[in-house]
Amino acid sequence: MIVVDDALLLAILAEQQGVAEAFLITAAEAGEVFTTGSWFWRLARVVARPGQGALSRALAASSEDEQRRVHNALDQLPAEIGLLSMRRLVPVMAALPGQLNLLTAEAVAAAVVLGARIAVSTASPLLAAAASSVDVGVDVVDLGR
Amino acid sequence: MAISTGDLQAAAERARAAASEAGELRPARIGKVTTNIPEAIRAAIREDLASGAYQKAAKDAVAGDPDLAQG
Repeated sequence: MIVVDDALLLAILAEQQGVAEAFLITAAEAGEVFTTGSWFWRLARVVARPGQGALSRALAASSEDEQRRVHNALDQLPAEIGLLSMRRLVPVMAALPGQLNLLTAEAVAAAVVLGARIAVSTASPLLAAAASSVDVGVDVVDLGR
Repeated sequence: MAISTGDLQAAAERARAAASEAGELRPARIGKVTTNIPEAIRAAIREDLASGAYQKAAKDAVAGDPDLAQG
């Protein structure tokens, strides 16, 4: 089981085709991929905010119908991606050692409950330290290879 | 009051049992994830993920919200 961050979730939702993405997509097809509410919320905030990237430019050049289709695809978490509720996670988050922010506590608690590893697109010292303190593994996935 | 490893294990076991009973330890549906995003948009997403533009946009989008910082 793998708990993925917002960037890796986006790669799965957009059916990306690199080596690392193929591994994640295969895992998702097998029902092995979860994310967290915080990471899903980060992705939603990026999609809702016009920015400077290629996605923003491509969306601006798309028809309204295409824009709606893309927003619907990224706003609604597919049933094939797991998400544990705060009802389950908050007691575990409260028992984690250290002072953690919401995103880190939710990710580590989800991994503890699921017996999962955490996969992220960029290294995070805070997350790595929190995960290590409770024997949860963290993998940094190099996207675009 | 310090939290012990035993407290964490007990909380995790309770959460796991409740999630298992509710069928939440697996996604609600097993199979291929299909979102029907147009190819031009998929290519733009690929570019943003590979260049780091997505990660920068995410950092900007949650700036000022320490609970969502992935630091």
